[in-house]
Amino acid sequence: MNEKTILLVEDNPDDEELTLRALKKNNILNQVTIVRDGAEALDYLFCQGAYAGRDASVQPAVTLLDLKLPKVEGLEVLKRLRADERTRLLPVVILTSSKEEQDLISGYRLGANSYIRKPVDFTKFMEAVRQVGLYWLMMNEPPPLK
Amino acid sequence: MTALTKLRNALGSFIDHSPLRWAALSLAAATIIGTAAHTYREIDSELTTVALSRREAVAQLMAATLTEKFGRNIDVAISLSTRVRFRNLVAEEKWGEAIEILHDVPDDFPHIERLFLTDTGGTLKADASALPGVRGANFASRDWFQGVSRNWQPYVSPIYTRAAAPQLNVVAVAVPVKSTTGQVVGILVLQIRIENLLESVKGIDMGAEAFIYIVDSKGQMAFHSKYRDQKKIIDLSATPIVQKLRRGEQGVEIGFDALEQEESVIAYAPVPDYGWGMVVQQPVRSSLGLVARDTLLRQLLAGYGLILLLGVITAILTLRIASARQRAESDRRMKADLERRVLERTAELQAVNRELEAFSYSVSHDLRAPLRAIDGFSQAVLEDYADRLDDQGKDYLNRVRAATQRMGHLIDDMLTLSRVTRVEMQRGTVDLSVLAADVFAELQKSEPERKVDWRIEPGLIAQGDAQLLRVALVNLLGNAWKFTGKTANAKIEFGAMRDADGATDFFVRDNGAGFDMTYAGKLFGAFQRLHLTSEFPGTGIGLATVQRIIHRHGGRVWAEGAVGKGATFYFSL
Repeated sequence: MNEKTILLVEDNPDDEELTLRALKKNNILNQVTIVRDGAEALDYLFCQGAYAGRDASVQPAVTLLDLKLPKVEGLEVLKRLRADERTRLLPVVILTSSKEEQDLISGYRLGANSYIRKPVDFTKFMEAVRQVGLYWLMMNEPPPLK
Repeated sequence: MTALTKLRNALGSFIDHSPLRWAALSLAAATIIGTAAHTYREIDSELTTVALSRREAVAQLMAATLTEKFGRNIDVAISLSTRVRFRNLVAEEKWGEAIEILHDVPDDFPHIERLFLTDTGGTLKADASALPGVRGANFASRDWFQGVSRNWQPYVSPIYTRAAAPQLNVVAVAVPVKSTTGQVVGILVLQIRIENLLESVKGIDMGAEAFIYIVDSKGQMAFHSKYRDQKKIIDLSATPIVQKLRRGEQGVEIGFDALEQEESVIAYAPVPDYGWGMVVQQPVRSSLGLVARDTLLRQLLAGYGLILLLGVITAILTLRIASARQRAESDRRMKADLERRVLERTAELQAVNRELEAFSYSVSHDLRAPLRAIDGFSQAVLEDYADRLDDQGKDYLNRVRAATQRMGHLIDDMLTLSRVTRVEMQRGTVDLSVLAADVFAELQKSEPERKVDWRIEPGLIAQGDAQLLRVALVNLLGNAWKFTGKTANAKIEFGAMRDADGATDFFVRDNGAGFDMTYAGKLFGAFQRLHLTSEFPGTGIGLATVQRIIHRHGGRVWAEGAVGKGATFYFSL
């Protein structure tokens, strides 16, 4: 089960620490890969640039994607993932502070699998992370890799 | 509005708006009027001159005719008196035989009434046609006798009433009859009636109401065309015209005629050699051709008036068309300008809206992230280092967490407030009753243990944006829910009623904490709160949001309440 990895795309170190804490507190001990901007996320997933040597057959069970990111925005990352045959079915959960309607609509239209708002209340955040982890890491069968 | 008023208004606006054109039009009108006046005067004076000179010509023609007639009669008389046989008979005093020779003369010359012979002493010796009671009578006292006997020259007498019946007024043409030796042996007199002399000039058109009269050498009226049957011989020698005639003057003048009692044109001409005079007279009103002239001038004026009127009408019409066109043009320009401005303003608004959206996005992301960190790490400290914190330390950290969460709510509410302002309205039919029930269900779910008596009037339908109205109801019902939190037997009612104007006013009524009406004005301001946060939590943005939503629907929102007795919030859409 532990071979199911998580890709966390997060530029804010506080949010990174809190997300990792929330995962740990929920006993989600899967390996978490952290990238700090949209460009790095794309490099990782497409095994290019700094990640050119990465094994393309190993993809994360779920990608937690922040929307507001340096270099390439979260929604742009999602768009490219969905445009590429290799990552079209990759589970992506948008994890963001914004509950702006526009983000929501765009997010779903581009094919986000889920959309979780990071609440200020850490207790609620913990609960949200727990549910995401439970669903995507334990229940969901990952899509066949091409 | 009458046509006159319209014309006046049109003229008024014309003068106001186009002073230059008005000046040009006035100039044109003045030119026309001036030309008309000038023409009028010219024609008037011309007509007067023509009328006067025509009368004068008539008078001269008449006078010349009379001169000629007198001359002819004298010639006739001389030719008769110089017949050899006649003069011999007269010399021999064979009066009867002598007159017999001239017997046919009155028939041959119809204007000669009769003729007679006298001796050199003026005693009538024979006459033809013979009249009773005059043969043998002496006429030495007659003017004609005195005239002819003075130098034994032919003589034309003034008018006089003859002795023989019928006693006509006649003129005598007297010539001496001389013997072959040149001795005067008698006098031949032709009696002539003046009107008979004028037969030939009857055809002359003197004009309407015109008349002539003839003045003899004594200043008496010898003939008057208007009073042909006048028997009495009237002496006119004292009148100015006759005096001028007797001085041999001729002319034409306008003066008051005492006899006719009116202003007249009087043309007069002397009959030279005989001391007579001819007067042609006509009342001014007809003589100057006033009737004809008035007609002419009236036509002239009417013509000019028509030209002027047409000119003015044309000018006004032209002007109206021009101003209408100008108005249309300026309307079009104004419309284009407005459209352009609307486009500009729309673009500006869109830009502002985009900025606002970007700002809201930043706010929701960037302000929340640190709060999350504060709350998250406070929680982490509480969890991981609980054994090293005393109760006060834990309390402080809990306060930090509460404050950050409260700030999170504030940010969320502000974003909601800004969203209801800028979100595009999607109007439709909304069942507020269903919406209210839905909201209530959510509220009940958030606090399942609370017992609230809900009353929702069914079938409250409104036109509006379902999303926004939902936000409004969430706030209003949420407030009612919140402020009845400490009330036993809490009651919340959602209903509607008709106001005085027949419009529908919706209301949310509760029996909760209520509020002091003194501060009712503050209710709908952002961040205005009438209760302590510790009593009833809240950000003070909910009612401001409600008000914005209602205003965006073109409606009105207001509240009634009393402390401890609940509150009612009304709104119309």
